[in-house]
Amino acid sequence: MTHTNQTRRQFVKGSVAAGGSVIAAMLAGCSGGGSSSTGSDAASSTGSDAGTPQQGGDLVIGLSYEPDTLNVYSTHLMGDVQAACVEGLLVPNDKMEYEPVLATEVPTIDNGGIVLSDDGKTMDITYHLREGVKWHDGEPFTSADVKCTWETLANPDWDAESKDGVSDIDSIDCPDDYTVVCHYNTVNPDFAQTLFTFGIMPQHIIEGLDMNDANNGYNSSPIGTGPYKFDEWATGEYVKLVRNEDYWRDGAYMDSVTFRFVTDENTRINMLKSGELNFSYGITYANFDQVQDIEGMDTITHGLNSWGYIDFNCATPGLDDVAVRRAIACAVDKKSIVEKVYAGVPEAWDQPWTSSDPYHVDGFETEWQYDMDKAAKLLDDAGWKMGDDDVREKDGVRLEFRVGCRSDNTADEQLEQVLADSLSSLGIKLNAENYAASTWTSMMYDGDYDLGIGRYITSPGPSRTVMYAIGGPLNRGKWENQDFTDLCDQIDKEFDEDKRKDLVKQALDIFDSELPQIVTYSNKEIDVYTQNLQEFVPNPTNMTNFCMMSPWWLKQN
Amino acid sequence: MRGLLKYAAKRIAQAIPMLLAVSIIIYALLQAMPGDPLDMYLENPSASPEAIEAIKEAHGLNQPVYIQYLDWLTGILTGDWGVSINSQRQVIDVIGERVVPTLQLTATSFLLALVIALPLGVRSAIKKGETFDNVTTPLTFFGISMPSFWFGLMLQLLFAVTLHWLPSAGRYSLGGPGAGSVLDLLRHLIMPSIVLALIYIASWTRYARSNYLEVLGQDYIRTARAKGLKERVVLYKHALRNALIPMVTVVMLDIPVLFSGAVITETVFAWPGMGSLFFDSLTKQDFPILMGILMVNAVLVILSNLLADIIYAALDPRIKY
Amino acid sequence: MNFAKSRKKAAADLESQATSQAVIRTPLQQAVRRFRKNKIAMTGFWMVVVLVLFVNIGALVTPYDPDAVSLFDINATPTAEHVLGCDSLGRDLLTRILFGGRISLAVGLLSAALSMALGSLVGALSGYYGGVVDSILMRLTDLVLTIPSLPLLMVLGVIFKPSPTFLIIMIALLNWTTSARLVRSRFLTLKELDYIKAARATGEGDARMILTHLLPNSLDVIVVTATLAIGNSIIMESTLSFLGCGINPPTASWGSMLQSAQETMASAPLTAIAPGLMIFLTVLAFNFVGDGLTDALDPKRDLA
Repeated sequence: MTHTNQTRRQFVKGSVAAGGSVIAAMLAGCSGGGSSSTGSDAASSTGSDAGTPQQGGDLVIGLSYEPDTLNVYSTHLMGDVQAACVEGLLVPNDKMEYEPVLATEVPTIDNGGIVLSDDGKTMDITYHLREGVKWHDGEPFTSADVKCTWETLANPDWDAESKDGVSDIDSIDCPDDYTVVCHYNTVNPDFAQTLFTFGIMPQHIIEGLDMNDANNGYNSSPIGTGPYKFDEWATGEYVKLVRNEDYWRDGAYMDSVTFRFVTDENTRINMLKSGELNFSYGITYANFDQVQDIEGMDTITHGLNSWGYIDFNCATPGLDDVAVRRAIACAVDKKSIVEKVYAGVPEAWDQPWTSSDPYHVDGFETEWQYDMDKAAKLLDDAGWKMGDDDVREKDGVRLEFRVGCRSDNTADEQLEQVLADSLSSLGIKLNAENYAASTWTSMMYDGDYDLGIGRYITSPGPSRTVMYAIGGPLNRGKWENQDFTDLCDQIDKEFDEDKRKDLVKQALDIFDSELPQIVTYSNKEIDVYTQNLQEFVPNPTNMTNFCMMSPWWLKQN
Repeated sequence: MRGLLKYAAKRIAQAIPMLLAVSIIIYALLQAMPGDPLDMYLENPSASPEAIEAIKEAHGLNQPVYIQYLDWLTGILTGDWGVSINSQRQVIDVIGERVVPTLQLTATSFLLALVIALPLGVRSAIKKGETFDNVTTPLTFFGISMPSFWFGLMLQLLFAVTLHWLPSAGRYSLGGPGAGSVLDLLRHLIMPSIVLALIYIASWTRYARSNYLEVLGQDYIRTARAKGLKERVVLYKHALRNALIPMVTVVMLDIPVLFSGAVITETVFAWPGMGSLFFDSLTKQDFPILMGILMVNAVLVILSNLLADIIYAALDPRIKY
Repeated sequence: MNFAKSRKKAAADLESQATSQAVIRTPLQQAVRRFRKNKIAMTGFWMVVVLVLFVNIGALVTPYDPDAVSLFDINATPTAEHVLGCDSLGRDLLTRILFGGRISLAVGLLSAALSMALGSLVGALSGYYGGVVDSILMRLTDLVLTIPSLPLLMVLGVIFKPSPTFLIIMIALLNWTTSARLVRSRFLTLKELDYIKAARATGEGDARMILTHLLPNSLDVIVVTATLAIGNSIIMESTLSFLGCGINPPTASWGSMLQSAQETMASAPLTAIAPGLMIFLTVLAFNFVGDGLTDALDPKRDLA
């Protein structure tokens, strides 16, 4: 499993994106506005009002959580703050394609950046670095920094959270100050997901530091190359970044960017209304109506590489029968749920490759569309007979299951109740058992659930090995399908985009036929920001909206 | 007086085994909580089993629970409160920076609640059955039947969003004239302290009223009246003093409750105190931080109990220790 | 002057008592009489009766299933069919108020009763016997007070799935300490009073002392605390929903309804107002009753 690409970090990020801490989700969870949504799609509403960028202004961003550390590799939360301050070699853009940042181009086989070995089992990746880039303290950025970043991560003493891809590299050569050659011990087309994309750390600062120590001078006040540099972290209150006067390209127009920690979503909305905040993202669907008409603010929705699911524990008697899983899928009216309960914000969706993801299969529709008659027939045909108490059974197994979700997420809880209500008429009884977020996450990992409701967010790339392959760490429901696993292995090694897309299609067919999980919707994020903000382009990936914020500027009145 | 000091010393001596017992119970409870603070490492596919072992070793999590507890205990006794699993910072630092904001908020609310509840209670006792009493009672009950998160948000909507009189949340303004001044702090304190105080106003008013009525029915009050003392002197000197004594117990016992009541208020108002830290750490199962806060809370309970008894004794000459 | 007045009044009282010798009332009958004469108390009493009847009869009569989801009635405004409209999942709000009321009232009343019983017992024993008994019981009280309720509830909530019974017992176990401390305080004061000392000197048994002299004289404290505790328990239940340790959905309670109404407050205000108002009325009613009881149970009040 050296080639796995999603880590728990992405998963945890998912939970943050989907509601932050308990209180935020609880207070601002989902209930559906009932009225139809009027949100425009992202790309059209931003960046159109160009004009000449003006210097100055202070952007105050409301965050639903406080960062644990500002070290991009240590954090197990979203890296919003870090994204504005620390840059990597590459960054995924709004179309989920990689763009060069501190590198001059994205290495590919075609441009010679990736060289496969003769036996096709290993590869070398060469990055050419941008010249004239300075760290926030004025030191020049060179290939030694890249190498040091890898070496520091490779040191087993550092309990970093995100070390993916680190052990895939055997050694790094730096032929000159601006060239880095990484010798991989494997092939991995998704090499850019974590390492060097999350960020590069300055060798002159971190060399010899104890990276586990929060007070080591770097972890809580990082030095980067980004458009904004670290100024102050008032714990419990905010992190303030100020303009990097020596930014290496055009941009960094605003005087300061402050991330204020406001856990409670309703409070955050009130602060947007009162003008104390001028940017916030990840508003829950239920509050979509509430943030529509804030004076001086724009509200947009944009795709996220995230999907909602109802996960089956395939080890549970009853749920191990694919007919039961299919019948349950047929009892979920995704379109109405999205429209009525989720204020029409996300998209009803059938595949674990999101609508923002270039790898999704166009026009795909599940075979198990909402159809209660079909659901009943599936159960009848499989021999599940209605018992005396209106619960079906077969060979002593009753179709009575536990269904669970995080008790702080109203959107999940609502889906759970709609599902339970719908299934009761089919002769399947669901008993809701919801738990606090950390408890529920743990229980799912331990396989202590029957049906679980939640959502994922992942890095760009088609791999779903971690989630559904045999032995995948996120394959909590123990779905064991060898064909699917083989396809995952192929996807993880394939460089040819067309072939990858074809493999995804094959994998999806198995997925939809076997249904280890019902995909309910492709997630969308609600962003609210001041109309003075220009050139803001939302980002669907786990690198957050702030990873490409150098062109942003504030119109001064 | 010497008796009182001796009594205080005795109580403090008793508090030590008590704290020990509490720490054992809390430690066991937290251990029994489902979910492991290290799950975040275990679930990382790129963390090898050896790496996990190393991390566990570093946190001493491979030891039996009682050894872990003893380690924690020796740590606490030598001033080492452990390291936060979430931020890797020293627990004592993390908690330490939250103490002042929490004290600011709880002290303000405490005073506010006292200043409102006592006169209200006493006055409705004197005016028992009259309009004042009949209006005060339902009003104070609005206070306890309103969930604090809801009331807090309503205040924000009115005073911050609509009227722009007060800041919605936070402890200081980020910029603008006066940011960071005492006045700025006070402006930020107004709404959260009202919300926090409201929970206690109703019950303290009730107790004040009931105690006062009780005292008014006592023989010595009737004697005082019979002696021809001025009604004002009777009501506000003799009766008040005796009515306030049992209040001391109620009020002192509510101090730690006020402290934990701040959990929701602090979260709603983004107040960087121990309440919001506790809430945050609970969702993350940040064991060492939770343990630290809970122990601080335990010490607070014991201290306020002790204080309640001492003040009680000091005020009521009939009680001897 | 005052003295003369009060003497005159006392004499008049004696006289009236003497003249009504024909109707001898037990203390209980006197208390009932005093209670019935108290308008506010009777208002509270009838409010409680109406509330209890309303939720119990209503729940039997309503044509709707409180848990039946209807996606087409989400946040529906009030109509003839849905008198209060529907909630965020299209469930009839009135029906949920009725069913939720049964749970909330049960949780409030039973947990308050349980915690009062426990608290009075501990407080009485501690205050009466003093010494070692007092030390042990008060340290136990301190221990319970000191152990924070949140993690306790979270842990226990996972072990015993949060059911109404679980909540009643847990809330009672967390709430008895206040009444224990107060009853103990009252006992300490009472013990010093002359008539108690006198009664003790005559050699009355401990149980009799506690039950006939001390406890009745502490009833006002107990009752005030109990009536407040009913409201507290209902609020506590809503806080527990807030923390994810409340009653599991879809079962309704006023607390959990209020909790989940936070987002619908703007679009369907009734979803928040209805349960909030019910909680308020309930708390108010029990407190009116509590005040009335305090006065009714205290024989001195008539003379004051």
